Amino acid sequence: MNDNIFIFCALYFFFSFIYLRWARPSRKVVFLLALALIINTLTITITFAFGITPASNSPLYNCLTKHILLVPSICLTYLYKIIFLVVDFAFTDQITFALIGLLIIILLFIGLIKSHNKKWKVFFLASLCTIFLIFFFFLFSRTIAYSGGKSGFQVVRPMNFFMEKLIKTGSDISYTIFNNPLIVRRACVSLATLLLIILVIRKNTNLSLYALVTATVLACIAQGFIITSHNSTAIYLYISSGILILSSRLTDLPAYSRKKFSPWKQVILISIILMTALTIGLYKLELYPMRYHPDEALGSVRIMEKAMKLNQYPSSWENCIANIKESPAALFLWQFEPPNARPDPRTPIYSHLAYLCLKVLSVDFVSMRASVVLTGVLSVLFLFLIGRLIFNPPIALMAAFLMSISSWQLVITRLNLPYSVTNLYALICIYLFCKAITTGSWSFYLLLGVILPFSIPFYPSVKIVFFIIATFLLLRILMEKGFLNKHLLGILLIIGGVLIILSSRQIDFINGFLTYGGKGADTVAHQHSYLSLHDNIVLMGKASAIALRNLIRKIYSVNLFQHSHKSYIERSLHFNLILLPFITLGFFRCLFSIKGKGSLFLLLWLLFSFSPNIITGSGEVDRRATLIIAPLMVLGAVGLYYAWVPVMRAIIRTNPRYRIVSAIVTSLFSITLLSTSAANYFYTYSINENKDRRLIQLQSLKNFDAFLGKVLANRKRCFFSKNYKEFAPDIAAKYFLEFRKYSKMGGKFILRDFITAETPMEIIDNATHPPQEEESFAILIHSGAKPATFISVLEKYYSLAPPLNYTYPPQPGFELTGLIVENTDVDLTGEEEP
Amino acid sequence: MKKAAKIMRTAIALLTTAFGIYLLFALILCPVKPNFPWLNMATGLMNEFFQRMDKKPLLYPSQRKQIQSYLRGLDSQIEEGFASIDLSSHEDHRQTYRWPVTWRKTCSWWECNNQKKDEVSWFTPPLERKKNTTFIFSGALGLEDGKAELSIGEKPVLLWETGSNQENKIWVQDKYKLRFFPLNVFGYTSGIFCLTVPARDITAGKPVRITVRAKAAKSKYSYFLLHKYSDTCNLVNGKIEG
Repeated sequence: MNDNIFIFCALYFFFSFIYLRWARPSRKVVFLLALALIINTLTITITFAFGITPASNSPLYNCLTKHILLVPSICLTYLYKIIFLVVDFAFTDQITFALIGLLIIILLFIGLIKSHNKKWKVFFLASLCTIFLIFFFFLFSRTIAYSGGKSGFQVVRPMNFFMEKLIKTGSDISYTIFNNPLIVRRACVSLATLLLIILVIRKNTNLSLYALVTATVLACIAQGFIITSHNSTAIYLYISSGILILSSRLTDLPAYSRKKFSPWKQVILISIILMTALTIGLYKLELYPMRYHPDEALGSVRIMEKAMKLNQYPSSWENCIANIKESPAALFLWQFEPPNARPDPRTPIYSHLAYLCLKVLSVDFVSMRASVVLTGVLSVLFLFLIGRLIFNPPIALMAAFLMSISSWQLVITRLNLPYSVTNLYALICIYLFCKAITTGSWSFYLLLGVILPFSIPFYPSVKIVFFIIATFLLLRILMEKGFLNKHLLGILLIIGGVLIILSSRQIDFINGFLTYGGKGADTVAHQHSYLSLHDNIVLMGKASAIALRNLIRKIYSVNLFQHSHKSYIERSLHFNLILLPFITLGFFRCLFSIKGKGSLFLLLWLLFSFSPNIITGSGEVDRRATLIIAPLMVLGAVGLYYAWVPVMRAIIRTNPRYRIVSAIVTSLFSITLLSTSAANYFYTYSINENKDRRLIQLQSLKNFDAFLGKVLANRKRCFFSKNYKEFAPDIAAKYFLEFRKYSKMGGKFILRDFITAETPMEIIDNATHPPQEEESFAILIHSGAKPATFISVLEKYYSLAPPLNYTYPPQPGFELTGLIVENTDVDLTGEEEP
Repeated sequence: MKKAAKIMRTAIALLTTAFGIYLLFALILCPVKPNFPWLNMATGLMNEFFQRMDKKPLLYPSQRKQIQSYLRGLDSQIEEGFASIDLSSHEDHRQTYRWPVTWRKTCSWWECNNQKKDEVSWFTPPLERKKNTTFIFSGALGLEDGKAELSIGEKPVLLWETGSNQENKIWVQDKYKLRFFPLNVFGYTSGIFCLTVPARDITAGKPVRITVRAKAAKSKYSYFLLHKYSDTCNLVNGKIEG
């Protein structure tokens, strides 16, 4: 893996170098890039190739990797220190913190009003929006994320009400479409007829407009046929709409004046979109997904083990330097573990956001999940930035909005597994690459080169980033130098090239690169051995085609409100059925305008996002298809943009009217998409939660965690009537119990004492010796240990809160009693007196 | 020229747009099951295409070609190498090289080369002519290296190596020849064996008894495994496809 990273980084630099050398022959840039290449290769990639443990001790390795990565690690560690100090200050002196916050907001507001420089205005506005978003994240993750009113924030009640209404509306719309396919089809045809008539009346002679309207309606009807399981008719109509999109490209669309989308509008709109992503991501996070995946629990335990160090570390500069390798914020490449589907404390971004969320919020699974929601929100932001670079701001905003509400995106962002952060990492890399390509700035090339080696701990599908970058650069070089004029031919060559690379699995590094995480999943190249090259390529081609068909079938399949349990990702991949026709239209639009850099890049991005599913042969493994969300959403936005703008521009010719109509329709359509997507996710759970046997079982495990949460809340010590590991009803629950060992008190992370005490007297003895400060503690008693005896004895010495009971329905004999000792003021002299 | 191209493009656009509008009318007339032109034909073609895609042969052309070219150079009659089992030390259902097509495990017998008394013995079908014969049978080799002894009747005739890297080896002793063609890997290498036996060991109208005995190995993962397929010869000759 490490060698591959090295090789692909080298490839990346090689292609960037040639690209810049040929496409932008500026000596300064080439010189700087060459310098960057040397520095970066020396510091990270070559050293990385020398070994993964410091024990390998190559002098170069020690000299460069250890010492150069020391600087960012120390910086990051101290950044944590500062943030933690600010958080501690915010919790200890809330009024002062609120005043300072208010002061900053006022200053930013004054800056926004008074400043005449447009860039500064955007900066002030963006800063204000960021502060509000942080505030809302803090507020929502403490309120709407929980199912029962955990805190008394009345202000979020309207939010809950609004969300429920939205979900209800979405489910109604979905049911209406599902139950009345014929009416929907007729309505689509009528709408198309109306638009065509209006175009005729308005004396539009441009054929492209008629083709676009027809194509859009045919695509929508095609999706309707998928609902009624007429798949062949649906494919026929989709292909017809593709042909119409192609024909719309044969004649030029009428030119219209496009007003520049002002940056401050973009800031406000993207803030609203991020707010939507936050709200929908955090809403009822405690309840849905229904279960805590064992890997979530395991990852959380490991994160907490690391986070504990942040209590004290770094106590001094010397301490920081001496123990920097142990710092949770350290970024040493050798520490990274091979790719895995489990969340890991050394996964960059994921672990850092988790530490922050655990510090700011409470120590529980919801906080861990909230940190993953943050990665989802950041993904939306980066998708917007990418969309702006490769297309235009309206498409970028639409793509960001579609991603923020996508139910498949919701599935991966609401689960504490490393899929969402892998998406984010890929988007960051792609953004830097797009920025480097569009600006030609060496600093972005350098930054990307630095970031790429950090891909190791992410989910293996992230490997596609290397392929996208190398392929795009190679294609652009070939095209700009005139070696390859046909873009589609270029894509076909890429597919052929990939198949040939796959077939050359005798080459170790390719074989290693194809290994798909953990022990490795078989790729199409691994399925058959001992074949000739020709047979192998034919076979892989067939397997890839079948996998692609399966994946496309899965993307387009409609499974309305049917819960399908998945072992790794609880819900199957699912897209909004209203959006799918526009994604298809967007795909055809990009395919037939592939000469544009944006379209070419988007198609490559899509192709390589599909590749983890395709090269592993089945096409149906959901967890390998998490990277398809972003390109599909951009395609959806492209489809929507080109289905709406040219046609409406031709119908409504004056700018003010067009803007009003566009605003109204966009708002209505956005609400429809939002509600149907929200219903797709939330309503599916809520209607199945009492029906599905597995969901009920999962819920009872979640209840176990909730029971532990209640019993252990604000208590440092807990007594168990036998070893605490035997208190978990099953293996998964053991991790929950393990995670509950950690808590937070006075702003510091603490490790609770789990003490085994088989009799009440042992508890009393342990609780009083050594004498501790007056503090309450918890007791967990197994049904076999006679809880009544414990209660009757302990009542004599302590004031006990009413006991809490937990039963695990799948194991009828498994019962736990939780006791909370509120007052430990023990009077051991008056033995008979309680 | 430019004008002609423009007219051409407009004509194509007009035709396709008219086709799209025609589809809309077809939908108005029959929204449940519209009568679209070429729909049935396209569906048929697509189904046929994917059926072809899904179809997998038991033996790929290159594999068959490789075995056949080896057999052509042998100057012997080609016969099926398995008819019935005589005795074996171990028996179970195992995956074979046919697994990706059939998805069925097949009864298999094996001997472990680290167990001195282990053996697998089986009968070929009765042979018509007394002639040099190459028997073709399906089997597998464990991944660890080891040695086994092959006997015809009761007579040991060939000592050969088992293990994972036996792809291009031919074991020859006297006039006896053995070659293994690996086809798929499942923690062991499953494939096809070709055993050439001189005419002196063949009796017309009688089956031949072949035995593989354990000889030497360090671990139990060195073994010879025989699959219960009595159609391997037909498979190699192309009489069975999949």
